[in-house]
Amino acid sequence: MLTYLIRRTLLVSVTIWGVMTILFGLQHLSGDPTLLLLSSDATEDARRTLANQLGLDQPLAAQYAAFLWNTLTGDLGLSWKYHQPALRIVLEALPATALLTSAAIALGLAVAVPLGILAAVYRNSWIDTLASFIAVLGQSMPVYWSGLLLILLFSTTLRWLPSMGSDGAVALVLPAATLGLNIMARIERITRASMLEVLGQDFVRTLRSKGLSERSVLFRHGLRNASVPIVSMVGLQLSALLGGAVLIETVFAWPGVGRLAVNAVYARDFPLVHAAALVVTLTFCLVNMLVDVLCASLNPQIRLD
Amino acid sequence: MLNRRALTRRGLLGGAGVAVGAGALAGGARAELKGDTLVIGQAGDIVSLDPAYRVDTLTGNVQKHLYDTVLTRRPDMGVGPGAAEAVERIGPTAWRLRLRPDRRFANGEPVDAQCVQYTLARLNAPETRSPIRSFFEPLNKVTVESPTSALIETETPDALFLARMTNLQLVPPRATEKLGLKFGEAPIGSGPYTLDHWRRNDEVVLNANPTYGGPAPRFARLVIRPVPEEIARISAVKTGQAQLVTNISPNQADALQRAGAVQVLRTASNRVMVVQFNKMAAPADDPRFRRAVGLAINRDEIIRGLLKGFASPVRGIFGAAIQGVPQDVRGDFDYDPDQARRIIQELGLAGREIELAGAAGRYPLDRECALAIGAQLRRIGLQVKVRTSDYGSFAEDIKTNRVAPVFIQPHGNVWLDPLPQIIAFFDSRGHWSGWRDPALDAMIARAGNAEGDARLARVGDLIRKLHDDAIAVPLYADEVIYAAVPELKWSPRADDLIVASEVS
Repeated sequence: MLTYLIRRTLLVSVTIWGVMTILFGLQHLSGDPTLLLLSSDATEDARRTLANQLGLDQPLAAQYAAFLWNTLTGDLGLSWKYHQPALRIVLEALPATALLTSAAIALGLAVAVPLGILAAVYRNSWIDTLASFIAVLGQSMPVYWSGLLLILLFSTTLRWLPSMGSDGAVALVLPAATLGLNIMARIERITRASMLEVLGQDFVRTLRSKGLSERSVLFRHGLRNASVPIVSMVGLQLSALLGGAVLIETVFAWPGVGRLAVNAVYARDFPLVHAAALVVTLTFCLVNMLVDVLCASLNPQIRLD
Repeated sequence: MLNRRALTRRGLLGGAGVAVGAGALAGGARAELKGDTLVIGQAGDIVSLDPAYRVDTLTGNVQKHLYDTVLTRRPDMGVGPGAAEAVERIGPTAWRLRLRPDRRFANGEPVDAQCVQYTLARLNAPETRSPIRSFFEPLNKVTVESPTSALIETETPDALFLARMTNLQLVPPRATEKLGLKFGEAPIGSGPYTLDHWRRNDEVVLNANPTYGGPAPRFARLVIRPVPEEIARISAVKTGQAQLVTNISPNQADALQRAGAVQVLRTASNRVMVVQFNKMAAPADDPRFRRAVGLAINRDEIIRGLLKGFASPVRGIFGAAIQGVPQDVRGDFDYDPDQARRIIQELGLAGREIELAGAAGRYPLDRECALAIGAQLRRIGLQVKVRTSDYGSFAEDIKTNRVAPVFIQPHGNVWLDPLPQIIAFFDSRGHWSGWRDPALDAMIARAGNAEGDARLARVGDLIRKLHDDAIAVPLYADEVIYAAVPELKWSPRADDLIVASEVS
């Protein structure tokens, strides 16, 4: 396990270096940030002074070295837009995104796993067809679109749920449901496929012949064996969820990292983009590592070393 | 196997539970209108609560309630008293501020001449990195004559002095120094409200300031929420989650007006869409081509068809509220596609591929406007390729002359004066300008040094120059559109600001 953790930590470092290098390149291809940071009546002298203060007049290699050093030390400086420490701003927004994605995953699992099991058990029945329909619907509708539809139905028409903000659990329902709908489709399909594979294996026939209840066969033995691909899928979906969260946070005015990062990109706020990219990359790598450990604990045949 | 019938029953029960749960949530979700709280939904979040970092209206809407300005803009855009009860011009380059003796910051510090001096010194200090430093740079000599009297001297006559004073939000010297960076999140002002809390990208909540020296605010609590999605903003006002929301698009405004469930409030803005040219890119270096473009654009078609009437044509590059613009000088072009087509044929440009660039998502329907103009230019025989991008990339292209030969530039004007707008967009040194013309630069400089009637005449000359050389083709001033609950009474302002004391 220790060897595994050391190896993965090294791989995470390489991944972060790669992401940061690409980010640095993209930032500098995106143009001169001083144009957007100053007001319209700013003079050329003011623009040059600001470029000097931000270190943008330094040679690219020096800027890259400073950028990597800042990444390494976690000192990402002040946000050029907000004039507050960039990393702190991102970390303040992180819990909102974590809550949204966790709720979406929980909702997705709560609906998709039972639905996938049912679809596998009642293969080719109307339940299977219904589950497929939900899966197609969830996967084919862009989250942005389904979010707007849910606002129109549950907020504007029925007036059951708020359309904006993060006040209380009620405000979480629509954004989490929208994001959950998207992930739900994939989890339902993988659960169905995985359960069908497991239920067709010899050990299941043996369990049934030994007189175990169908409930025990399905949930105690079947689902446990089928859960490894489901857990892996959930881990992989995290990146999709973070991408979806950008849109959902915008649609529902949810104060998370995704919206913050997108606004920072538009404002050419390099330190804030830097901090958001670093935090998201780290989160993604850590979740993936966690998923690997979880899979190993679910299936002893998987060896981390 | 599991019993299918039992499962179905359970499913139904589960479904019923979800429905009941949702019904129970309904009560909690319904927001009631509260007479002492005003909830405003804006299209984006604020940048900072420190006035040194205010660069946009969204931020201005919050800061306006936290800080006193030396002078204020009245709803009719005239200049009225603020923290100063009077401003006297005591010489061509000297102004005296007479401050009210009774104003104090929320922490007890006095609003006095020293705080005027400190505020300006702080804005002009390079280490502050204030994006609005250029606006206050001419005001670099401030003398404290007494607690209620400050003398400000400029190097040259400053026609924008009063406009600068309407934007100068005063900060308390001791608290600002003590708090440092934290001042941007825990501000102390002398305005009608104080900060309750700010959750970035979520909400800013302000409470009425009990020690405010002016009239007591109408609302005890002011909540300002960033809601980027327009459908969510409209839903918020329809369901009473907000009483007033900003940035309604013409299409939605039209639909809302027909439905009648909420009020649509509108006013002409100071934002003017202008077609401009990159002189470095042929054929835009030829004034005849630029004139043909001006003649080919049918503004009425765009205003009626695309903007549903939520815009008005402009005679020059200025919005209606801009002061100091001669009214008898026209800077726009009559729609004459036949003449435009003839010019294009004479120039041998018929069938020539021309790129038209514009920003997308900065102002209402800006991308669609670019597409519509592209279609109109095709009618005079040009092959037009329309390319839109985010404003940052677009502005960079303009500044570096990499922009397309023809581009649509949205002009804003926070100064309510014509010259800063002309400088920003047409002077060689202008922040958004890629135009290089020493003769025009000299004319701008002359206008800048003039005052009174002479200045008015020189601004007229500049408008003529922009028209005669076909440097700019003014299109329309779009409208600022809001949606509000039916019982709200308010007249929108031309400067886009929402001032709670004007709402009832």
